[in-house]
Amino acid sequence: MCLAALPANPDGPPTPGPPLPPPETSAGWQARAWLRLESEPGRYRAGATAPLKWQRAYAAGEGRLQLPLLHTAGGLVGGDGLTVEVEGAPGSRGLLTTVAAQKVYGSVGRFRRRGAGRRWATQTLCMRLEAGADLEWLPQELVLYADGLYGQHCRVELAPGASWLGAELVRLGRSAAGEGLGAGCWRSALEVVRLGPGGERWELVDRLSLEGEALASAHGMDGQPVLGTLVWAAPDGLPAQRLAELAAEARAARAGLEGEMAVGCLEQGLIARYRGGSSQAARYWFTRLWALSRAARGLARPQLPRVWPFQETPWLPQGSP
Amino acid sequence: MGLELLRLFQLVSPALPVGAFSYSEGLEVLVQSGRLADAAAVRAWLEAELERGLVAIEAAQLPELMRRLAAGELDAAAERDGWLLAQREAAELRAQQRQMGRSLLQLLTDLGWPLPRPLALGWTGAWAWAGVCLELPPQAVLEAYLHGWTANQLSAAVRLVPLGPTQAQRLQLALAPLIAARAAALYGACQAGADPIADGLWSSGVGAGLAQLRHAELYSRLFRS
Repeated sequence: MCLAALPANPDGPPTPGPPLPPPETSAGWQARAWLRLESEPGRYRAGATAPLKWQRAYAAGEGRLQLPLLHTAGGLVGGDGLTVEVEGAPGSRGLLTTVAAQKVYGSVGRFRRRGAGRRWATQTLCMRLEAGADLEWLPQELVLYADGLYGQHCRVELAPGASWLGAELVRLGRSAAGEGLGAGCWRSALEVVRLGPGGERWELVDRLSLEGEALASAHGMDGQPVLGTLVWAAPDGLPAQRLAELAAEARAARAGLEGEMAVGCLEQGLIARYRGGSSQAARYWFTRLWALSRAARGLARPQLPRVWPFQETPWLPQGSP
Repeated sequence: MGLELLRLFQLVSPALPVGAFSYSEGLEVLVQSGRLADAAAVRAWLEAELERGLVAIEAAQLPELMRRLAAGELDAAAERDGWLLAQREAAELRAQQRQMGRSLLQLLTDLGWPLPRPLALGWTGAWAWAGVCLELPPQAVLEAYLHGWTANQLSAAVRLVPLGPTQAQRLQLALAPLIAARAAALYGACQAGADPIADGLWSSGVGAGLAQLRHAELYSRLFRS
């Protein structure tokens, strides 16, 4: 279902997409980026329509290609839709990130005279990994402004032996300016599916919707503005004991960071959640868990992507990870 | 009606041998961390879960699970049941759903209602099969699921101290209108033909998930989740 119509782009750097669609149409601004990482290290095919654009790819070591995705529109408003489709060929390795934090502006009520009700900014992600492919999806944080409506659907399909690490951070309202979410709403549906000879198996389904009472309620966000979710769908065959050890190491990696952090084992992987006030603390913790997932695969500690603006040292003061 | 009601009573009875009493679903963590200190806090928590929690997503799947099981579409039923299990991020919760499901299916088998072929179902799937076996109407099965969940949470809360047994009964009574309203709304959403996977059914239980994940970290525990 992903990448139904992958254009036959030549190998090499991303090609420019078709001409810009007219902005400010009633349908909003729709853009699509696609990528196929090939088995041979460094080779890929990619393309995008404005305002999405792939930046130059870097070799990130160990055969991994690092590709930053740029959204040139400076944010999303209700009606805008982004689609990102990624395929990983057998044995390919990729690290995808974004060049800047994504901003979603308030749209509740703005379109009332059209009678359209609430208009959502949407993002659809589809990542399909073939046998032994390894993809890391580490976008920068999303900031949802007051009255913003954002809905994301992310589907990940994993063939045997594939590994997918995804970490996302959202800030609900510009809390530093004392702003809350108002009438806004953030929704995210994540589905991670394992494909095997015996059919499909759900590894994780996460359907979160945060608005209104849920923002203040202890059962929901407990008044905190930042939510982070990291999921690592590990390659098959990692023993339960090893996963439990990784979870314990992930708990130890919370040292010195503010906010609530919890981690648990999936059937074949890990899930970690952050709820608190500091996107930096969440980013530090997730970066440490990223390193743990690399170590568990026998890979080197990651280097922070060059496009991240932070001059940070997220690592624990001494020792691993 | 008489027979139907009696069968429903049997299904929601705490005497049903499925081991529900050993699970707190995160309440133990909340009590130990001082976040659930009194009856008002327990009530607010249960209301939030019924309004915006995973238990509502599970309950809403019961009519469709019953339909698939009754029609012999076992793989399709197992698929939807697995979709529900995969929403439980804490391993302890998945273990709970699986153990209770296994126990209920075993009980139904012993009572003469085996599944057409062996199938591993979680608690929600097994509950749907019980509804099919006992020939109960789907909305009643859905309502009973929410009622039974609430009663079990209150029973855990009583053992975890912040709540006396009388207060728990008062809360169960007070929550009844919400349970009935939620059951009607969730059942109505199913009947409207909306695809529950594509639309409407969301959780906002970030705090519930955190509490359930942290159960593994408790130094001493009464409960298994």
